[in-house]
Amino acid sequence: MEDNQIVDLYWERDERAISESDTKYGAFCARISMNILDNAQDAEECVNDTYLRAWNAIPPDRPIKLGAFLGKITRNLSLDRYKAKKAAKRGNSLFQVSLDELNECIPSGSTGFGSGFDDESEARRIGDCINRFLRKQSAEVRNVFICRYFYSDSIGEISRRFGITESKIKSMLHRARGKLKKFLESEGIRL
Amino acid sequence: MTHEQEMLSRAMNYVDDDLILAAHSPRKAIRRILPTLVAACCILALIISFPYLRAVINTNSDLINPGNKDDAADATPGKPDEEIPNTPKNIPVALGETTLTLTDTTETTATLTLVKKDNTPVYAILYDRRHSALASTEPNYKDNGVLIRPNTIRLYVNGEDQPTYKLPTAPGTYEIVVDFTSIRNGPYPMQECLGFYAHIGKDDKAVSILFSLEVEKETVNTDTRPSESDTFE
Repeated sequence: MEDNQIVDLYWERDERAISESDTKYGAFCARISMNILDNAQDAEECVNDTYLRAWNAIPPDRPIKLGAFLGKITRNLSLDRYKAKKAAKRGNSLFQVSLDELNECIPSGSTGFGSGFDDESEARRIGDCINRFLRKQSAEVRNVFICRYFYSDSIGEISRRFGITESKIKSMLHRARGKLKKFLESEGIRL
Repeated sequence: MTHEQEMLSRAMNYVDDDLILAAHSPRKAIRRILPTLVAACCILALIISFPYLRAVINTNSDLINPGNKDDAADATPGKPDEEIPNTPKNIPVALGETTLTLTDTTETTATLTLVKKDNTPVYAILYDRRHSALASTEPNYKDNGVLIRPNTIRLYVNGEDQPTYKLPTAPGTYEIVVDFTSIRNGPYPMQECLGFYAHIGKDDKAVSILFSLEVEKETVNTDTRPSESDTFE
């Protein structure tokens, strides 16, 4: 079923919207959640919560790309759960490695206390910058960066997906992180 | 998860949908790797037919030029866990107009020729066949969260006595000897049977040279004749 047809089901409050979403994007959302939480039960709960959130958001939303819409909801829910688990010392160490890599992107002058915006606005501001940064990169670098820091794929998975050696993936990401840091600094971003 | 990490991670949720989905699409991945697959098939065909070609070439070249019988067309491959053959010696790999050629390997060194046509900096990262980083000219390079110690790669450029830790920037032709002794004594275990990736990069592009160091050979003195300096009473 096409995305617009599934979205129509949401608008019509037809519960088939959930089953169709799950059929088309269930595995996609599960992958995102598993990469963050590394726990099948938690991931399943996040995916189920995703459909509930989508049901409540559509209408009034009418997403054009339903997969990305659902994936982002799943990701946010998974990050929330990860944060809670980490507080209880039960986080996913592999995901933490990818988070630690993001330290190389932190602009100089960041204090760790934010820039005065609320978290949602700050994330959106940074996200706009990251968008502009990514569009300036080659498709290969952009896709690898998104696979690592949006989908939280491991280096090995990215290597298999794109047919590039792990060593090249690592150095590509290292260069991209350095460039992103400089770009954020030039945009006046401080975290 | 620190505040900065969380902000950066959540900011990724604001990346445009088309970029998110493009990174996920497997069809584009297949299209992207198709030229590599074709190239790999051609290389495989060449490798399989190489012994026969060599026999023909040797037969003809012996008549024209005796050649150096110590030449080894390929380094003896170690035991790579990916079954990827070593890069042949004396065949340049190109990074734009910059080229890199592996010319020799010994037990502790690898010799490469770097030809630069511009001032763009070139970096190098050395990995073992399991893709663990051993050394880097890049400052603050981390592998799996572990900082690769700076100055772990020792390069001798154009026969200079003093080592350097950076590849030359100016245009020119350079003979670079990579000395593995310092890496061998470092925190990363060296295994002679594994080969290495020399990953040479410029901006976003990079090429890899795969090679193996020569395995240490046992030498046995088979000469049992008394030396001329021996004296007998």
